[in-house]
Amino acid sequence: MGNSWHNDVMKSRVFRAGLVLAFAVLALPMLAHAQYASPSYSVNEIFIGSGGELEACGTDYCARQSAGDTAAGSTSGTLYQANAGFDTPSEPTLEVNVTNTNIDLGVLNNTSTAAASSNFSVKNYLSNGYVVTIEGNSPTYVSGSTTSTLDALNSPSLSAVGTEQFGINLVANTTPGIGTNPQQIPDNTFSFGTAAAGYDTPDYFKYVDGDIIAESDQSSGETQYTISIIANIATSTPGGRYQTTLVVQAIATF
Amino acid sequence: MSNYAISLKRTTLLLAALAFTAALLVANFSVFSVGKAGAAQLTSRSLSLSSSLAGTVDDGTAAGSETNGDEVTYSFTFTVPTTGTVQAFLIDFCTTAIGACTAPTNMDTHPADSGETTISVQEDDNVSFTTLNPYAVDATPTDGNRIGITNVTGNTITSGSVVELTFIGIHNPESTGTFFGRIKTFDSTATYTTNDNDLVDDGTVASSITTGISITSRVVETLGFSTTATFPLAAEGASCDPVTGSGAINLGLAPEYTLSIATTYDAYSAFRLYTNAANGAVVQYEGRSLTKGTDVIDAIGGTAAAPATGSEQFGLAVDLTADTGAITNADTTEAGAGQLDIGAEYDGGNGTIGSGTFAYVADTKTQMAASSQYVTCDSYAVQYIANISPLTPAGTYTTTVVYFAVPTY
Repeated sequence: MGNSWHNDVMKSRVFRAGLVLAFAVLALPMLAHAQYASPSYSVNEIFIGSGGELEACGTDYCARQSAGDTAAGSTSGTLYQANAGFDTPSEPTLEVNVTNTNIDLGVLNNTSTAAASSNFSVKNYLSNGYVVTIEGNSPTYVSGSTTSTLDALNSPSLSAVGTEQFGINLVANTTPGIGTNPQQIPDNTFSFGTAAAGYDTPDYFKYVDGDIIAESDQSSGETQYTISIIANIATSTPGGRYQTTLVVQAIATF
Repeated sequence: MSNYAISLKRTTLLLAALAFTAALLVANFSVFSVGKAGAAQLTSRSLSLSSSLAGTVDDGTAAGSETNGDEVTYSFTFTVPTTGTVQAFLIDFCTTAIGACTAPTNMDTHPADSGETTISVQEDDNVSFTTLNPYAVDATPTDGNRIGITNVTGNTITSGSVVELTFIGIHNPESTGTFFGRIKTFDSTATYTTNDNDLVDDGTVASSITTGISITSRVVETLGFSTTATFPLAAEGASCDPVTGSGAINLGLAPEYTLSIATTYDAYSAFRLYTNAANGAVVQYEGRSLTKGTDVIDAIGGTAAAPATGSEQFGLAVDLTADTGAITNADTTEAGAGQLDIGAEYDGGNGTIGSGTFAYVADTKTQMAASSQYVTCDSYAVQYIANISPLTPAGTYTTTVVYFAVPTY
């Protein structure tokens, strides 16, 4: 039986290995069809590592699972963009969160600058980036038929005590000492939002209704922004209570 | 059992397992066959809202304003990848991008209270509608999170065209957070609200309802008003310093200050005003005419008149030529930004008395100047004149003229 037995076993093993290889090749599209798509080639979403599952579904729900991340974030080039992380959902996402929304600048005077801060964050996924606009009037006081509005700074300007001004920016300032630069969560390899031109220079403030104040040119993890708000008045600024509501809107292009 | 038999048994089990896998593979391919084979993805998709505030926020501003979440303009922009006829656009607003659609809280794309939901399909530079058959709102989808617009003839849209859809009057979702607009195009209106049989392209956009940033501040109401008859006036300075000194005027020929039937005599006082009143301020005066017991020199009245020697007259007017000599730091202009507008009957004062005109209403609070807005710092010299007739009783005539500044904030 010697050589004949060994030959049979070897044939059987080679046959089985061939079958496994053939079916493995045929079965590959089944494993990938939900995640791979491109005329040439791209990986949309895969899970690498242990303990994770992209779609764990029961009768009434589906969930994504992960036991941990070895890396998270996104990378891109001129022809590609990829996202990695604990959970990289396949649907487009735009999350905007505005906090510290009740701002009281107090009693304004012509000898000092009133300042306060508000905050918002943006997280945007599977897009070509986003812009954030701010809309609303400069603080306004209406009395009878008279409407008085604090002069909005239509170009980046230093705070000038004694001159009527209303302006904002999104960076850390020295005069007055308010604000912080955009914070990338967890860091700048994952999130890419920046203050827009006109609102990105320390100590220079601007406010134009409808302006873009922040942006990202690619999908981005969370970026936390601080809106620094200043107001100055002149002796001629009409007395009264000035109010406004500023609306932050993020517009993503998917 | 021989090793060969064992090997064959293992092979048989392996074949069975692989057959099962193959069956799954076939089933898997069947999934491909029932997918949306013809649908391509709309690209460069975006959604811009006129207001991203919740639908409950309506500050009374016009529909489409940034602080009106009740009647909001939705502007979709996307690029069409497939050349073909489009008879219908369908947009579903959902809390998720994929899967079963749950409507955002109390969103209303067909607000019954406004009737202002309108549709316009705007032609971008890249759109090649040769003959635009206008799309209209389809009344069939009545769900508050769905909009369908149709034209049974449709329009041919070429690949690469940028389409903009604008919807006016939508009531925003009433809770903050992300929501999605699922856009679909159809080449037939037959069943577009019930299935995707006629689907051409689709794509999803995301937007977010946020909380507005409410800013409040206060500016203290100010008023500075002072009078004097002491010259020269103090400089206004950066703080509009008040004028100071005695308010006593001697009118007539010095040193006894006697009036004459042949000469008109004059004298000056001044007032200084600043205010930040939003609706401006008025300056008024009130007082008797020159009086001695029961004898009163005639006031000129409310209509300005030139001095007339030999006739009883008492009047006043702001002298805009007065910033000379002792009358320093007085304004010579009026009615500019941040300035009072001197009344037409009271702006005729003149250093050359005979060239001026004057008025005076006795015993009645009378307005002589006003502004419709703030007054930065105005300093005006007020010129008084007096004439007597041959019948005017002799004696010492006096009066006190009181000035008032009344701002409206």
